[in-house]
Order: sequence, then structure tokens, then C-alpha cells
Amino acid sequence: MMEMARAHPLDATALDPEVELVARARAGDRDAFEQLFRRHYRQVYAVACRVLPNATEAEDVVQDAFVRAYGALGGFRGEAAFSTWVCRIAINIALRRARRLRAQPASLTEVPEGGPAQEPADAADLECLVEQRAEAHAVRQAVSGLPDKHRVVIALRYFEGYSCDEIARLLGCSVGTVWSRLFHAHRKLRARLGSAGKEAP
Amino acid sequence: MSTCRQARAQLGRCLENHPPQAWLSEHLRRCPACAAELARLREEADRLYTAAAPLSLPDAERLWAGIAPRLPRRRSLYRLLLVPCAPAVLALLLWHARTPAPNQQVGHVSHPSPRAAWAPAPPHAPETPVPAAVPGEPRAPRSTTAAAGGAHRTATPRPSRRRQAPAVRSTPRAIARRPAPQSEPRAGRVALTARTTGEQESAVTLAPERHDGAAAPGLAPARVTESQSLPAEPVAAVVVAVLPSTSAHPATPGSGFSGSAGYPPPEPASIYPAVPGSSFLRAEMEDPVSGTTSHLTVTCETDESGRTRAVMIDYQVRPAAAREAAGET
Repeated sequence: MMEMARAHPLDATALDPEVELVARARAGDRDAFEQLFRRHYRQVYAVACRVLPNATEAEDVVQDAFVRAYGALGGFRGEAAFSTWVCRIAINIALRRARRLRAQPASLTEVPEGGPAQEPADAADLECLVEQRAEAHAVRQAVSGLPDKHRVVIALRYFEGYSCDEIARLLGCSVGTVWSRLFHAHRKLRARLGSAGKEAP
Repeated sequence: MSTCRQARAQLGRCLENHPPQAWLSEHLRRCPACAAELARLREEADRLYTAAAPLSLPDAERLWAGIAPRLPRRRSLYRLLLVPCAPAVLALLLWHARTPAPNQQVGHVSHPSPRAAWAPAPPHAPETPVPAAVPGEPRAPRSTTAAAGGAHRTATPRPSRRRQAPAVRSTPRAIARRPAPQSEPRAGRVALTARTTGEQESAVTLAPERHDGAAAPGLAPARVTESQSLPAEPVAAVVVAVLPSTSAHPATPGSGFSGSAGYPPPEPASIYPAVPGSSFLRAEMEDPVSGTTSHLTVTCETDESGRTRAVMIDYQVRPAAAREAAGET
């Protein structure tokens, strides 16, 4: 998955074009901010999609997140990567929206899926492909039914490929909390998928 | 039992391919149940990885087209001095935001800004009479000269309401002695940015404990004198913007995020020229709903060499009852 650049306040601007872009955007340069947007909107959109039920909501979150990020650039100290910072803003907005949309629980399957269509070679391959898709669908449905805090951790970890350290930074909690949420999310998921394990001695 | 529970709480670490701690390795070696649990977790992780479907991305142009018009037109280059303000002020600012101000000094043309309420006259400009507040009409800018630092201005007759009002002293001693107004909990902040003559960024932290939202009943006058918090050069201007409250989501220390992360951006700032040694920014606002009047005064003290010695920020809220008692209607 995307490896996030670590921007340190002491990094030389010339060494990291992103630091320069952030500095220019902070000074009011909209072109620089647009470049930052084009660099990171995919990541922000993906994060928003994992929290919210549909693509339209996720797009709204992306727009809100970047508008708010532009206004708050003065407070961005550069201790985290810009992408992490914007993603955190997006997650906060998305979680707030998700709470508002509690009546209609988030379904990760409603998000439009892309990627190349696979052409099965023969009937066996077709059967295998259908089986895989059905299982993937079931897993995503099970994840959709998890509570917000567990769903976000699972989605960021396995669907977006963030490490637990990165998730902790995105959610503003400790790595231990992420590990714990991950563990409990797995247990709930297992129960939902009908493969509950043995109880601990 | 407790060891198994502790071990399982740490199994996420093993999923990350972090080397397990010695006690955890030892426990996994001895406890088949926990080892089986880890194996199941790994299996599930694989299922989750394979279940991740690639997303189809929206068109960047379309997204940007929705963002660009919403970006503030101008941003400050400087760090913020943050002063909390009362809900009444925010209510008034919102009221002004809905009411276009034809004589607005700074700001958008298309987006009437709440900053219109904060527009005092420049230090050397003649004063203008203040019309009575009429709901639905914008208030005219006003400035006051009753307190310290107003000697450079031309005194002009004021409406009777102002003459009857007791003078608000903003000298350092008066500010220091004044008790904190007992107003309702604050819901937002006014951001003040110091701009120096040399365009240097001033690293200022203005009483951060004041940003605790509802914890403090009112805002006492602030006096910033720490040398490391003051700009080296005289303050040439102050930029005022309105920020929403962040008390519900405080900044996470060391996380690289400021307290305003994730919140709506401030309105484009209004710039007020400063006159060192005087109260250069004085604004008064009236909430048409509650009748509350708010005063904001900023004073910069400089020494002979022109170096900024102190910045004082005074914010007063007068409830409608106090105004009525003073004979104001």
C-alpha cells in the first residue's frame, strides 16, 4: 500500500517537495494546495469509503476534509505527514457522519468497486471465482456490521494496508489500543462469520 | 486465565509481524489455545486481505471543482494568538454572516463575513456616529477613544447611548484589576494574529489554558509579557478571524495536529493596523437577540527601541441587564 512520507519539521524544504508544497499552500498558494489534493485525494477517499456507507458521502467527506485542512494549515506543525493529517481530518468527519447515519448502517459493499475484470479460463475457474467473490462479499458484509471503532481499525488495517502505528496516528490513540481493538474486532468478526473459536482456558 | 487474557490482548502485535515479547513467546509455546487463537487470527487476516476490493476513484477534477470555491481567499502567514469568545459573540457573528455588509472593510464580496462586526475604524480615521442596531441591517463600524491610547484620534460627538455608558478603561493596571466577567460558557474562539513590521513570524502562545471551553466561566484580560512569546519587532497589525470551538477535541500532544484540525477553517482574516502603545483594536458588538454587548481591546506596549514589551487582550461581555441598569436601551 502507499508508504507515507515522514515529514519532520527540520527537514530541508528542498529535500521534500511536499514540505515545500505545504509551505506554499500555507502562504495562500492555491495551486500548491491543488497539487497536494491531487497527491492525496485517493488515500483520503479510500479512508472515507471504509467508514461511510456510500461513495457520495465519501466524496463529500473528501471535499470537506480538504477545505478544512486548507483553513487549518496554520496549525499543521509538520510532525506528521500531510497525508496522515488530512486522513485524520477525514476520519473525524466521516465518523461524525457515520454516527448521523446510524439508522442506515454502513455497508462497505455499496462503495463502487473497481479493478480489472477477471476473465475465467474455464468452468472450474469460473466456479472458483464466484466462490471467492461470494466469500469476499460475506467478509465485507460482516465487517460492515461491526461497531465504528472496530470497523475502522479493520478496514484501515486490512483493506487499506496501514500499519498499526499509522492507524494509531490516524485515530489519535495508542498502538496498544489499536492492537486491542483489532483483537476484539477479529473476535466479533469470527462470531459473525460463524467460525467462533474455542474459549480461552 | 489472566495470562491468556493478557496474551490475547497482545496478539495483534504478532499479526503486525512485530517480534513478540519474551513472555508472550513463552506463553504461546506453552498454551496451545492461545497459539491456536493466533493461527485463527492469521487466517482471518488473510481472508480480510483477500476481501479488500479495489475502489473506483472519483474524478479528481470534479472533486476539486467542489473544493476550490469553498477555500478561503486569503490566509494569514503568521501564527495565531487565540482568545476564546462567548457564545453570544458567535451568535452575533453568525447573524452578521447572514446579513451582507455593504461597507465591509475586508473580506469576500460573495460571502458576507462575520468579521464585519469586528471592523473598527483605522486609528487615524475620524469617528463615525454609530446608528442604532436594526435587525436585518448591518451595523456600522465603530471605534472608541475613551480609554488609553486614543489621543491621536479626533473626538467627535457620540450618540447619547454611548455617552451614558461607563468608560471602559483598558490601561494595563485597569485590565489587571478587572475581575473576569461572569458570562456563559464559551463556544468558540477569536483568533488574533500578530503581524510585525519586519514580516517576522511571531511565536506567540497566548494563555493556552484559556482555551478550555466551558471550564472557565468568562475570559479574564490576558497580558502576554514572556519574551519568547512576543515578536521581536513592533506589532504592525493584528489579524482577526473566527474559529469554532475545539474544546471537545483537544489537540493531541506530539501528534502533529493542532487543535483546529478537522474543523471548519476560519473566515479570511480582517487586518487592523496597529499603533504601538495604544489600544489599536477596539471593537464593540451587540447581539440583537440577547442584547449582550461585547468589547474587544488589544493593546501593544513597546519600549523606546520599538521592541514589543507586552500584548494585552481584553474581552468583556456585558449582559443586557447591565446595559439596562446603566440606562441604555
